[in-house]
Amino acid sequence: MFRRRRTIFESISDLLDEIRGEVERLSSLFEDLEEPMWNASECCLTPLSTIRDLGDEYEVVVDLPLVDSGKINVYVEGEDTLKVEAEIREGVRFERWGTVQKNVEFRRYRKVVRFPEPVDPTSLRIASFKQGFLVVRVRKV
Amino acid sequence: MPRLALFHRTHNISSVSCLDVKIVGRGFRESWLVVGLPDAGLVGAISAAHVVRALGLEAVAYVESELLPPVIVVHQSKVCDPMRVFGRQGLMVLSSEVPVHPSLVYPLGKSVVEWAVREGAKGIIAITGIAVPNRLEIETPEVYGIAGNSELYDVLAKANVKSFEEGFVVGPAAVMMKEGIKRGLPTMTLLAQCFLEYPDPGAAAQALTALNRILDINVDVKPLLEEAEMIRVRTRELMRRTAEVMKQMRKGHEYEVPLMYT
Repeated sequence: MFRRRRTIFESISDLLDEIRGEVERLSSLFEDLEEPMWNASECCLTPLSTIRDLGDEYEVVVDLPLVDSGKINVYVEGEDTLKVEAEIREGVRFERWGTVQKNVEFRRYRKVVRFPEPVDPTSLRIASFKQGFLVVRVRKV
Repeated sequence: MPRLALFHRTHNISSVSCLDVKIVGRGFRESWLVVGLPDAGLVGAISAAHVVRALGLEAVAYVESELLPPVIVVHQSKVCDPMRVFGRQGLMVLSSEVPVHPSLVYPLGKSVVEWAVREGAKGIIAITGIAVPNRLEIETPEVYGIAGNSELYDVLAKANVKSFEEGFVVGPAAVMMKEGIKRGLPTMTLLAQCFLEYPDPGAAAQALTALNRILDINVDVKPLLEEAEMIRVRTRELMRRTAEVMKQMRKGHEYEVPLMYT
């Protein structure tokens, strides 16, 4: 059966689609610097975090000042997303900051971390919680 | 009246410019200039802000540059520049509320040294952080010093500050050290062990404790330690932006071992 040969333009177009998809995937891994680190309607703050590839597993460190160890909830959602929620010890107010934020008492942190590769949700473990730094590890699939 | 003109009139202005950076305002003769810019662990920025607050220093000059982001900072309804020099006779502090973009590092470092020389400053002490991967295991961060000449190393030794013997230093402090040596201005850098990408008030407290000993001043660091958690919450955004800038500046170099000369 005769099979039409792909034109060079079709090949280039496919290649560009592939590159576009890869760029979108990669950019979703990095935080948008212009994204605010607070959400007034949900009274929550975004903590700082870093992710490290340790070969077989990922290590995520989340800075959670003003949080007690029993008030943290960590779980893996789907196959590549880590969610961290934590209650702030005493609500945080920024009386001299911004227009919306100054009227809000922030009571929790929320952080979503997307891994570059799928992970095994059952392998999730808290390695430590020291000086307000939460360290979690999760194995790659 | 335009803000700049008003500032010139009220502050008997002189300015020093180097390429694209201008420092507008007068300093104090025979006074040390402490420089604390956003960097690893925001050690410099937190330290500088704390000294300004603890000693109640007034703004005396500001940095003007088109390389700075188009930002003004409003404090108690007053328009302020994001990078300012505060001071009184004996002590000046350069503090910034925005990260220093890589394109600003050289002209800023040179301008600061040039301005310090022109204003008759005693010298420059830059405070910065030296990131260590095991910072979580360290209870009390060490502070190391680099000095432009052997007399200044004696000053550091008398203040019980260990010398930084081998390694890379990246950023404005590095440029100021080089320029200071070139211009014959006494220049030192204090490096406190810290987190790279998390605000580190504990490291800032140690750096200021060393500064207290070097300059024989008494900046109370207790509030810095007591409010450490709140400072970490409040400086998240600045840390996030600074971390981005540090990547462009190849701050990770500081983890590396330099080529050794025998």
